[in-house]
Amino acid sequence: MELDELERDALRELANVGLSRAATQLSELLNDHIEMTVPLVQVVPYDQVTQALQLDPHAMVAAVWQSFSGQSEGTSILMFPSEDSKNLVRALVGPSMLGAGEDDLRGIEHEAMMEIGNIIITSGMAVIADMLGQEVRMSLPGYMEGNLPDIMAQRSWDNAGREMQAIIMFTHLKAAQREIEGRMVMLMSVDSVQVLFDRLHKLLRSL
Amino acid sequence: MKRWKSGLFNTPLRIVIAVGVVVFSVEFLFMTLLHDVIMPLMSFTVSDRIWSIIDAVTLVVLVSPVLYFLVFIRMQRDFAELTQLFADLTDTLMVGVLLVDTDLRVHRWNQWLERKTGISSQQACGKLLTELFADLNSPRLLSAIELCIKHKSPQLISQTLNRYVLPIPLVSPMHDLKLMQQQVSVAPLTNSRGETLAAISINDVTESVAKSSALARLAMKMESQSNRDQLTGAYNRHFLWSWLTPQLKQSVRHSQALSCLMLDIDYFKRINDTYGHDVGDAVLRGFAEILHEQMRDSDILVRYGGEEFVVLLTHADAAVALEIANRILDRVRKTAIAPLEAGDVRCSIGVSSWTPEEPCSAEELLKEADRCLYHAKHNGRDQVVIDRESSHSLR
Repeated sequence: MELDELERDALRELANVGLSRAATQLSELLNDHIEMTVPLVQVVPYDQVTQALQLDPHAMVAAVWQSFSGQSEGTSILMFPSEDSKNLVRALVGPSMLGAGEDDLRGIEHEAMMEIGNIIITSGMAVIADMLGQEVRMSLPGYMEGNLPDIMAQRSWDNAGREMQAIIMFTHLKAAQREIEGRMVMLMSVDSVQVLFDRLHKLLRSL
Repeated sequence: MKRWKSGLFNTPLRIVIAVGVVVFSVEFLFMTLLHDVIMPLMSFTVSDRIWSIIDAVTLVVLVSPVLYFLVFIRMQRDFAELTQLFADLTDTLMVGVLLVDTDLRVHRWNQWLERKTGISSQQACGKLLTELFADLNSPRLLSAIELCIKHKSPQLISQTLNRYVLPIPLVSPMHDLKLMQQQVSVAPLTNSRGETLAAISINDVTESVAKSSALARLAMKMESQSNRDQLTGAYNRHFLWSWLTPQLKQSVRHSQALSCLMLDIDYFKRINDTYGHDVGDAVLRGFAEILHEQMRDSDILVRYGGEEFVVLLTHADAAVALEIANRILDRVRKTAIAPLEAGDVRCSIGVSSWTPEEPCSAEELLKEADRCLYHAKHNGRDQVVIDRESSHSLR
C-alpha cells in the first residue's frame, strides 16, 4: 500500500490546514504567536514506525496520546524531544512557575504538555476523520516520558493483534522564538488506511 | 413511575396471574361471541379440530401484545430508574458536572455546581452559559466545547495554562485568589437522537494552587533571608552589610582596627570557557577553601560577586592584612584545584583598613578595597595592592 507523490502532497496539505487550525487555538491559549507546519507525511507498516520516526533511540521523548474508537480504532501519539518540550513550557508559562519546586515543575510541565498535545492531536485527527468520512471518538489524553523504544513498548498500541499501519506527520512548531521538531503518529488498521487512501484517490480525481 | 412500585405488577407471580386473568377473560368473551353469536348468525359449523386451531391462534394473538406491553412497561420503568440513578449519581460527585449543547445551552447542572455558584439547577437548565456568567471570558472553554462536539475529542483545560474557566467567586478568598481555580475536562456525550452534548466536569483546585503559591513565596523568602552562598558556603552580600555595620561600631568602641581584602580570581572567565562551568564551580569552591584556611574564627568570608570574594579581618591593621593577603596569594599559586594544576589559578587582592586614626564608613572601606583590586588587575594581576593611607601607616 503506497502513496504516490501527488497523494502524499495532498495528505500533507490537508495536515497543514488541520495543524494551522491547532496553531491558531494555541496562539490564543498561550498568548504567543505560534506556527505549525507539516513538512512531511509518511505511511508505514507498524513494525517500521520506530525507524521511520527518525528519532535518536536514546533521547528522552515526551509523548501525549489519545486513543480513538468508532468505525476506525487506534491511537494517536504526539512526540516531542523531552528537553524541547520542557523548554517550550518554561518559556510559555515561565512567570507563573517562578519558585515552584522540582516536583511542582514536573507536574506543571506534564499538565501543560497534555493540554497542548490534546489540541494538536484533535486537529490532526479531525483531518483524518474528515478524510475517512467517519466519526471518530477520542479518549482523554494521556502523558508519558521515556526513550522511543520505551514509549512504543510501554503500551501495546497495536489493536488486538490486527494488522496496523501508521500515518506519521512530521511537525514543525515555532513558538516563543523556538523551533521544535515533533512527530504525530496515528496507528490504525490497514483497512482504515485503505479507506483513507481510496477517498484520497477520489478526491484527487475529482479535482 | 411511582404507581408501578407498589401497584399490581410488582412481583412476577402477580404479573403471571394478571396476564392469565386478562388472557382467559378476553378469550372467553371472544369465543363466546364467536360460538354463540356470530356462528349461529352465519349458520356455519366447523369440526372440533379446526376449533382447537382457532383456540391456539387466538391465544397467541391475544397473549403476545399483552406480554409485549408488560415487558415494555417494565423496561421503561427500569430505564427511568436508571436515568434517575445517574442524575442522582452526578449529584453525589465532588466535582462540578454540567451538560451543554453547541449553543452553550445548559442541559444538566449538578448539586456541586448549585452549591458553589448559588445557581440552582432549575435556574441553570435551559439557559445559555453566557447568560449565567455575564463575565465568562475563556476562549479556550468555548473552543474546547466546539472541538469536543465537532470532533468528538475530549479536551483538557489545565489550571497551568488557563487561570479561570468558569468565573466562580470563592466564598472565602484564599490568599490573593478571589475566583475558584479549576481543572476542567470537556467530553462528548451523544444521545439517542444523535445529538452530541459536551459534558463539562470541573475540579476545584483552588486549595492546591493556594498551597503551592504559598510554598513558593515561602521558598523565595527563605532564599532571600539565608546568609550563605550555596556553592561555596561563604556568606553572601546580604549578610556582609548586616555584619559590617555593627562590627564597625564595635571597632569604634574598642578602638580596634578592621581590614578588608577584596579578592578576584584572575582570568576566571577563561577557565569557565575552556573547562566548562563544572570546573569553574570547582575552582570557586577550592578558592573559598584556601581563603578559609588562612582566616581566624572571628573573620568572615563573603562571596561578593561571581568570582569576587571579600574577607573581613577583625583586630587586623594594614600590616596584618597585608601579611594575610600575601599568604593567600602564595597558597593560591601553590595549590592544585582539581582538575587544574598548581599555578593555573591565580588571584588579585585589594586591601583596605579601618583604624581609629583613619576611620571611614563601611561603604568607603569596601570601595577602597575595590579600588586597590582594580589597580592590582591593571598592574598585571597576581598581586596584592594596598591603599595609600594604609601603606603610610605601615612605615
